[in-house]
Amino acid sequence: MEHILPALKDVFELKMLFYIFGGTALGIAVGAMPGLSATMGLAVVLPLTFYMSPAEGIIILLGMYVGALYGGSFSAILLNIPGAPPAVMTALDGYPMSKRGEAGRAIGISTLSSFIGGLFGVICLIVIAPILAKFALKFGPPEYTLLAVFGLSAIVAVASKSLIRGFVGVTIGLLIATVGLDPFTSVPRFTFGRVELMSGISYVPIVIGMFGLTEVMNQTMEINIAGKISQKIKKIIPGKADIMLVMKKFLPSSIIGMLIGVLPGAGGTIASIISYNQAVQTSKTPEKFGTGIPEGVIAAESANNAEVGGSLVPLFTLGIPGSSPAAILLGALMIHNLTPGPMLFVEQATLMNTMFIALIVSQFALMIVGLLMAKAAPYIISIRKVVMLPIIALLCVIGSYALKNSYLDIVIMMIFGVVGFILQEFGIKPAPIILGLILGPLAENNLRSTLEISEHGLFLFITRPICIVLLVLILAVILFPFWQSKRMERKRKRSIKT
Amino acid sequence: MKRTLLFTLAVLITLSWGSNIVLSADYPNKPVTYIIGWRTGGGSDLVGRVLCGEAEKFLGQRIIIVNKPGGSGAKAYMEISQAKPDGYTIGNCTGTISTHKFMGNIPVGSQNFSPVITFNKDPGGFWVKKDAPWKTLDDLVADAKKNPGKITVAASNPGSITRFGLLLLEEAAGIKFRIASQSGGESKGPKLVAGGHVDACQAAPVTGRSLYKAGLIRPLGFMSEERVPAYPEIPTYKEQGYNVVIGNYRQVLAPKDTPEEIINKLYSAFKKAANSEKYKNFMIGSGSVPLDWGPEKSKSYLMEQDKIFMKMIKERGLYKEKK
Repeated sequence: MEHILPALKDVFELKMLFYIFGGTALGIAVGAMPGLSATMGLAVVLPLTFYMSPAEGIIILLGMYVGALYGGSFSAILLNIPGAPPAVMTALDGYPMSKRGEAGRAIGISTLSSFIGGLFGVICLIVIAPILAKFALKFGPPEYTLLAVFGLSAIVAVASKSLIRGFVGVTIGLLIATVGLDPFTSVPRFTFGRVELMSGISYVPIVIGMFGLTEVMNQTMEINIAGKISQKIKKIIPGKADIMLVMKKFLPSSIIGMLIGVLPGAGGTIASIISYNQAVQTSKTPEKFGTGIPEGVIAAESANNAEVGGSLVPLFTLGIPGSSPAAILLGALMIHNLTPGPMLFVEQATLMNTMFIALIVSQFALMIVGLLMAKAAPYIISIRKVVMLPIIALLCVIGSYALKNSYLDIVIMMIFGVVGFILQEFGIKPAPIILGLILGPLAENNLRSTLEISEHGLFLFITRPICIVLLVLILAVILFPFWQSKRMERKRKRSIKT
Repeated sequence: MKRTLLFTLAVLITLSWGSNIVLSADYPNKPVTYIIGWRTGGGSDLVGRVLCGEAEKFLGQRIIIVNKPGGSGAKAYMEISQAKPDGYTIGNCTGTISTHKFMGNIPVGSQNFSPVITFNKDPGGFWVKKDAPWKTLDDLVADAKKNPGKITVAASNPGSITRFGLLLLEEAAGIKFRIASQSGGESKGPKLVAGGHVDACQAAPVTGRSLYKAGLIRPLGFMSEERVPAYPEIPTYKEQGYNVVIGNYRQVLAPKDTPEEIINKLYSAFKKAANSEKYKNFMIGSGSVPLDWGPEKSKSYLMEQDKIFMKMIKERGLYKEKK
């Protein structure tokens, strides 16, 4: 308690509140801009914080981190371009919603889910960080391998109608993920002698191409037909029914997001994939996901914002960052001669509390800024298509270049924009491809690592408790739809009889 | 009057266009671009941002950081080497500058650059779990001799400097480990050791620092000439009777043929930055070793490293230099 009061006094000071709100708003802007990630935003602001007090500097960075993970959902919902990779899953239901004229509602729901998910993550960080840290260390290569496979099983959820087409998509993604130097032998794979391809094709330009550019082409096809979509917007605060829905659905997604955040190297994108999968699997109407239902947005957004609190757990307790933005926070602490780890709680108790309170306040900042944006959203997408489409195309180009300052990434974005346009004619959607791309390296690296460590080959998987839990979950996800369709059939037969 | 003014201006422009001397004399008169061949938020990026943040105060011009990640620095090396040697495009390298060319990844190597400063060094190190049975390298070696191929050690992929460090210990002691490759650098190693997934790992003092402070892992030794400032209590390999010294380092590089005057101006700014309190505290606090070696020493150090790595790469059949 003795450390909480001075911390409260620290945070609730005009200057500090300004830093938190400013940092969060800046983070949202960075997140909403395709290609600019939370990591980049933090890295660019980092040198400015050298000359501030540790509390001020860290508060701005934390605010940006919280804002950036949420900001990605704006462009995902409004333009179908995930502003940041974790928003890929948000686009699946958020964009259809806004196409139907419910952009304001989608953003309102995404804001509320992010707020509650984020708050949940921060509370876990404050209350049970030491326990979670032990859990993080238990995850070795075998566990990560199965986590990746579990993530891949989400194909059942995103492939919607045709499982075969889903598998084709995932396979394409997995194949693209093999480009680059072999991580274990350093032999180049499909690099065609190009230096840029040595470390592989990053998924950001592919995401931007397959979601954003493909959509631009789709809209161009119907530019003469479609009139304006009238956007319904009554009030900026989500209605009572929506609030109840978020309250009912956020918890499992937030738990998943937080736990995955705790694991170094997994990250927000994987968190939202697994959470979305969970939401589909446990839903009574799984076929509605992907058509623009609020449940999809809630699952994705509450998971990727709960990830923030989770990813700070290993940073504060062990000094190891749970994500790349957390790695920059580590640097920021180091510059102020603070070594994160268990000693920080003892030596810098006030500062730790200041950070915790700032994290909570920035969730509120996120909600205020977000709801104001929900009001502006309909105006943004009501802009005439002839004006809007070139702007989106330009954003796609800038976004893919910004990631690595590489022209090749623009070419990759364009190629995959066209590929995405063609593949959708065959019913192959971008989501399974992205799934394979993101989870492929995680699965490959950890499977091979497992086999190098293990003296008994694959048997290692069935000798570890977390692995067994994951194996059961994977089997459940794969077998559940079969069981369900059998049950439906039986029900139908019974109803025919009676 | 007007005409004279115009004439003088024209002469000045011609002069400054045509001669290097005038260019060097007023260098720098515009912002300098600093290329980092690693992604934002990575090790080289953080160190680079702290160093450049200090250096621009002394240089009198802004230093703009541009990240060009790709192939462990390979892409950035290509770009820096092809830039105009006017001191406005510089960047950083790590030890991979001595391995890429010999392994046939890119056609440029250390001879395509003029080093400005060597600003940091991270020796290799061997880490075990806090309660591991080994207290010294001798304990470890004795155990490894009794149980060849039983002790699991995490290290980066073959051809990386971390991996070479581990192989050097194996050779010097005549032992064999079961090596678990880790993609994406050595940073995963200490976590795997702390979680008990492997018996040990090869990583620099900076990489294992946090988990060491958290009391979960400890180093058996570091592969440096002298003890690491942040770890005065940990002996080097040499002190323990294993004559292996290897590590990663970082330098600021300019393209080959950059005028000496410009290199010296850059060095004087970067030297002050490398000695600034902010930079030194950051480096030592995080478990790294700050340095301020000048252009001459950096160049000869590069040549020395080239020889060492060429030999190791050739011995392991990885040599593929393109002529």
